Amino acid sequence: MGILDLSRRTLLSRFGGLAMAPRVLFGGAAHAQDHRLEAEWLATAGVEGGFAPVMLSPDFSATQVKAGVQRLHWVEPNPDGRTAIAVARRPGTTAVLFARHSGTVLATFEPGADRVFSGHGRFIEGGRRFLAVEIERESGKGIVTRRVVEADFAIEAEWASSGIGPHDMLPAGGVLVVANGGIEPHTPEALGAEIAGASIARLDTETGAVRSVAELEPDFASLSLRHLSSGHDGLTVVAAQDLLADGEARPLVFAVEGERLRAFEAPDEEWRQLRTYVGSVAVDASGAYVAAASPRGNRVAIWKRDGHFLGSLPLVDGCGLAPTREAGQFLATSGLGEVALLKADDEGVGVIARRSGGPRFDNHAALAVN
Amino acid sequence: MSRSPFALGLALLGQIGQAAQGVPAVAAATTFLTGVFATRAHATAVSAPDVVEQWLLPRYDKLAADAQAQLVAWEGFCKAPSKEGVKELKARFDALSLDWSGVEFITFGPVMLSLRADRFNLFPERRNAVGRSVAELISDETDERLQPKRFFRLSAAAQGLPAMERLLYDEGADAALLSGPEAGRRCALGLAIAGNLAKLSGELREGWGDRSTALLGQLYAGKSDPVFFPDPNALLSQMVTDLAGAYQRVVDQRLLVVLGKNINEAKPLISDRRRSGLSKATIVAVVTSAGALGERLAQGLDPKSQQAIATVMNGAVTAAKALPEDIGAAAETEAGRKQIETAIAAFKAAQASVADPLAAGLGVPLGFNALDGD
Repeated sequence: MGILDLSRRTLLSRFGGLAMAPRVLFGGAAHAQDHRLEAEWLATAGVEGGFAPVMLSPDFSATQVKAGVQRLHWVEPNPDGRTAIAVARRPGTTAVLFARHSGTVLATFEPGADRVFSGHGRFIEGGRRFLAVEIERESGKGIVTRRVVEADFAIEAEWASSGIGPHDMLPAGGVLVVANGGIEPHTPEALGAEIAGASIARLDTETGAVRSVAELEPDFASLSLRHLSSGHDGLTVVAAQDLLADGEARPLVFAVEGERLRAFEAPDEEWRQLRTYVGSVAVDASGAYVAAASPRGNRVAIWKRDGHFLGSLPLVDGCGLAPTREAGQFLATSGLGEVALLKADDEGVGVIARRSGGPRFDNHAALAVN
Repeated sequence: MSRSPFALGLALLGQIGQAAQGVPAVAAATTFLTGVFATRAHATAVSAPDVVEQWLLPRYDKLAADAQAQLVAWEGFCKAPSKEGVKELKARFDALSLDWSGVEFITFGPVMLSLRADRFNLFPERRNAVGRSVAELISDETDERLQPKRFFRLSAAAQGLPAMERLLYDEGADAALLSGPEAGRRCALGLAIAGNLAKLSGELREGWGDRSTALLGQLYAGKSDPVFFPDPNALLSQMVTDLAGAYQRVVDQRLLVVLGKNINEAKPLISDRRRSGLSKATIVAVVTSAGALGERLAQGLDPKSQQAIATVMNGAVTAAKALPEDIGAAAETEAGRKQIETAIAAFKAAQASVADPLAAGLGVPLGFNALDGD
């Protein structure tokens, strides 16, 4: 049965249960707290007065950190359990270090001269170093900067991202994986472009030397590879955005396997339902499941790690995705302030809890590491 | 894992607010409608179901009626092709196309299902997807794929308004419809597309129902729906988000893309509805309909804010009406580009007003993921 055959009734049976519960307000827009905050997940959001990092507690209540004027994108938890960094999305120039237990902003730092942040960065070496993806304003060239946390985030090394339009990056499988998106979507260059020029580069984590560069096959040349996620066992996935809207169904999620990109499988109708855009991707705590969210398609789709499609769920304006501590579970957030707890197993997918009334969650959420 | 998500969900339905298998006790919170912005005046004066009933459904009614009229016109034409008949087909297409422009930016409700929006009007298209699909179907000597049970499964590029525009307005289309080796095939394809559009528009309207049935009935009853409205209170947010998207679609997909970075990089051939001569009329239809939605939603604001929104949205309509008839041709002249840029500024101002004072005044969050990509 394809998406075109689905009635509301069959969708209801496919989507499983929905938990709705008594209504209470989210924690108000708090700033620094006197009490200790429990940050189970981290996110960014649009709030009164601008944009802010947001901490979500185990009961999904949200506490915002101090708001700023630049739109933030990814929040990277420090493995030390104490701090996190929110990075501005392109063309932003701010990264915010904040304390997870108080919500206090501890420091901010900027990209290198004449550069902007891409929105993503990662801690390495147990939180002693921070890697950020930066883009030169003039040339669009991508650079990975390696910063010393204890030295006020001073840059100690810079490496070429080995591609154009780098967006996300993470350490996995002993290398640094960089998603070079190619032509930036929603720019004049992207209008009518049929070849994005995207690639996945694998860099040496010590020297930045290029180990390999993987590109998509010609049929998928219009895909911009943008977001990465990895599991504890090394599974690394990348999600794409299609610059073309030509009615063709193209896979938007791939496994990164060395120098090869393996497309996940789904019925053509399911790929089309994602409306050419996956905004975030996540691997669950067990490494057995992968979820991808499309705010344009108002859906979250879930696969097994081998690329077998399990099903999809509606989430209006939903984009943020993060694993929970439970196998097969994902937290999903939406731009309309909704949080949903999704569950997958080999039988299918379902929504097991929802909460609305939160801030305007932006593209990403992350499980806090404690 | 001992229980499937479905079993878990069903269990949770019976244990609202209770923890299950490690799931925290979840409280579905009050939305901004009644919570955070409770101190804002008039925030509850706008009812989302009322807006659906009064603004959206009349537009869907007209869409369905005009789609049915188009189907009848094609049935008549195929029985007795004539030059007058071609004129009638074009008039029916033009009306339906503009009807669609008035609702194209709505992403909630029955339009969510079965790729209905793309199947009705695949836009923007790339790589001549529509042209290739139409040519391929015309050259197919069998009519198996044109049967309703097969047609709705074909590429969206073949199913909707852009394919119909090709059939009616491509060079030599009139003559090819009236006589020659392809006339029968073109008629059969036109009939298939018209039938498909009539069915789709009927589904869009019937899915909503009325105050006591279907989705609208559910909304008035305050019932959630896991597929369409997991949180009925979020519908107002979806409306303002779609409203902002209406202006962004016009700017990004119908103007900037045609303008290109400079006059030498203008792309007149990708101007929407250039074949039917509706490139400007389409923009006027979108902006006019969006303005009506904006003013309807603004009824929940104080008079000063209402006036501010009316001013800026009426300004957008005026700017749209001042656009050159042929957007593509205008993009290739300095004077035309200036006119387009003036309109873009007006549309962006209207989009900004959706965020503030409209969404801010209503106290609803404005989604910002669906139309941006990063």
